[in-house]
Amino acid sequence: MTAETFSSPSHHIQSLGVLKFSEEGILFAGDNQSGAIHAFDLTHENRSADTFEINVYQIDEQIAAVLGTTQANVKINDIAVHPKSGEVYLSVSRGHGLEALPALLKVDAPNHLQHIDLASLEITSQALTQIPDHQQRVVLRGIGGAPPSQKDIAKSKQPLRMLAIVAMEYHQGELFVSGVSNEEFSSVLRRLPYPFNGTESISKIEMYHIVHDNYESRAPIRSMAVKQIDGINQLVAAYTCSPLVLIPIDELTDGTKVSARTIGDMGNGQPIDMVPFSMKGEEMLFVTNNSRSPLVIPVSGLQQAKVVTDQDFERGGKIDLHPIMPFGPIGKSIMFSGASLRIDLLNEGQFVSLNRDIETGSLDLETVFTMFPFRLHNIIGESDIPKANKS
Amino acid sequence: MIGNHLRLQVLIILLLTMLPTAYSQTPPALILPTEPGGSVQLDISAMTKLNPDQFEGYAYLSVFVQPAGEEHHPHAVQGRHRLEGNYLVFSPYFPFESGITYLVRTQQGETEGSYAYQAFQLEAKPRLEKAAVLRMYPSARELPENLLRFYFYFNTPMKKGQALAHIHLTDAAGKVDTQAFMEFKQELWSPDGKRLTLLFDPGRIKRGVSTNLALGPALLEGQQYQLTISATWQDVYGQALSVETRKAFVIGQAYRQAIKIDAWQIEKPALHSHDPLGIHFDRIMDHALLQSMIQLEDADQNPIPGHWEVLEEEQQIQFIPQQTWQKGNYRIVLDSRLEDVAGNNLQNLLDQKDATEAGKGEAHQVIGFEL
Repeated sequence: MTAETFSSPSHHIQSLGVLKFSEEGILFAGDNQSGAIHAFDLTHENRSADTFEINVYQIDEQIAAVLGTTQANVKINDIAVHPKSGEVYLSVSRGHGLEALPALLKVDAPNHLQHIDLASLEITSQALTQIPDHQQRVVLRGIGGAPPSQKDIAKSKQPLRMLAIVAMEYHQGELFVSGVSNEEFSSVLRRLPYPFNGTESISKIEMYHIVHDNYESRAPIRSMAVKQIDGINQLVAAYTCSPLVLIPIDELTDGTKVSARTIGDMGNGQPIDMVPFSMKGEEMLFVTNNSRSPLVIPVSGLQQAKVVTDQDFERGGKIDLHPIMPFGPIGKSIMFSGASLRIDLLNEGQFVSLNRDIETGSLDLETVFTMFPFRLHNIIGESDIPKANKS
Repeated sequence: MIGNHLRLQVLIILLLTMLPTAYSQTPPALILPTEPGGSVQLDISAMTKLNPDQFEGYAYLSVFVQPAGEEHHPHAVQGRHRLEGNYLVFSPYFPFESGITYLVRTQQGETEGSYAYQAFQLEAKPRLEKAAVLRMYPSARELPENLLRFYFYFNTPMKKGQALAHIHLTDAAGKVDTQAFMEFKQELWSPDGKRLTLLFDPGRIKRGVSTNLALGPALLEGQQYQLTISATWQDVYGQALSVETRKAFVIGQAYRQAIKIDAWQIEKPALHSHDPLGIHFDRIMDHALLQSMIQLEDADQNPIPGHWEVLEEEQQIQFIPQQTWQKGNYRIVLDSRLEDVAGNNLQNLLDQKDATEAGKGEAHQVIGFEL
């Protein structure tokens, strides 16, 4: 497919959603509103300090002050760590709906929050083809026979367009983009060469969904990473409710329908991010979820994994409490500090995460160790009580 | 190289056109915005130590969000500082909103760390007035082939960064020219966000420059064109323009000759009357520059009180005096940077850097007359 590519002055940017850095420091940003991907050249940014940890509490309130507005008008869409500078970039919507304006901010080593003037950046963009228009909506539905709640109704007002770009992965000069298209088999994976040249390949993805006992091709991949599995480069991809699949990237050619290999199911919930990291020299994936604790998945477990189909299970839906669930080499569920809304690797030993604090509800940008991604501020355990408690 | 030089020249011209008209009364030390697209302006004329090339804008002028009953937020609202005449102007990256109290912190004199504070709130305006395009310049139906720019006036500050998505130039066959206008990283808006300047890519106007050779001129003599402003463009309040605005025009000969002041006709008023003084130009002049680059003085160079009005599709301007005309000698003082609609000023043609013979290198040119 060919599409429009343009050297983009900042006025083409209508929204900033998913973020992804290349190793060199190109920041890719998904713009669902305009239906394009923008590449910001940040390759000249360098490390401002050697080691640091980033903690900005009530970050939505801080961003509001910098943008001259109130917390209610700030929505953080994604975070990404610059591979060279170690600074955390945030994509933000200022305002709501069609009136929302895009903003890009960063947090530097001394935890300063800075708005990035898009007009000061070298930007190239590529418009995507076959994207849903603004009129198509998410289906309205309730659960278990109950009528749709107010929140369900609000959800159903979301245009499908907002799912055009859901996750991005950069690998060897190519950007992989998951999302929904305007076609019947709407779950697609796009491949865009970078630097953009106006071309993209679009593959339709189908997979066997263990929990639904169904072959599915509409819902998009939520998060993914490229890994060497069984000797070839494969996308490890996570879906909602929550299949884990493998897709050999060589099969992703334009116009093809690709059957993903289902190898596991992480249990009910919706994955958010999949962050590769290494622990004691072993390759790992850290997969966050909007409904359950994060998983640490050893990549070694994905090698020679059994690929399953409907033939491998009894018929019928399966929920978390079903004896076979969770299924496959999905690693371990671990303790985490709060609920991670977005996460990225800050350095070899730390993640930086946009956390919803369980106690106070505040939105904090917080650094946690990869080995033990937790902070102590919300628990009181044995070590918090002084030993010498004699009066 | 030539292209860069030209672009720089155009930028300078643009900066000049964006200067506010001269302040007639003693200006206030701090000008606060009244609308979401507005900026905060601080008079810095007394601050002699401020180095215009190197200053920390936030030290002199910062704006903070101030939650009710609390100290102001520790983080200043971020935006751009620039110098405009005697004023340090702060424009936030995003428009100020009504319903929020903002606190402006200014440095007192030249003492570092000594601050004065002033709060402001934008009036919550009822959104009764629909967003609309008020006027477009040049207003004539026939325009020269080397036309340099259009001005668009709106009744409300518009959402920025979207101009080229909403303004289109089509030829008689209905074909849209997507490369007609110059793409700046930052659009050229007046400080109040209501006037947009849109430039044709000067590379396509200037003869022999690569884009001119590759794409040809955007406008061709004898052809008809239409400029369209889409109905979906929103103002900063989120109201769309709701109707599409069109301007049809035909293209005439390019302005390749220097402006000839001698060819201008001066229409003298009658003594002791309130009649206007008229100047008929030899061509269509730049609307915005006409507002600020012509002054009327007496023989002792004292300004004559009154005001200027641009008429006849910018081919004529007239001065309406406050008092009746008295006997004496008068001077019409023209800033040499005054331009026609093709960007030729009183000294240079846009695509020739040599000064024309008349008034070479002079900052002003004067037309004298006697009553």
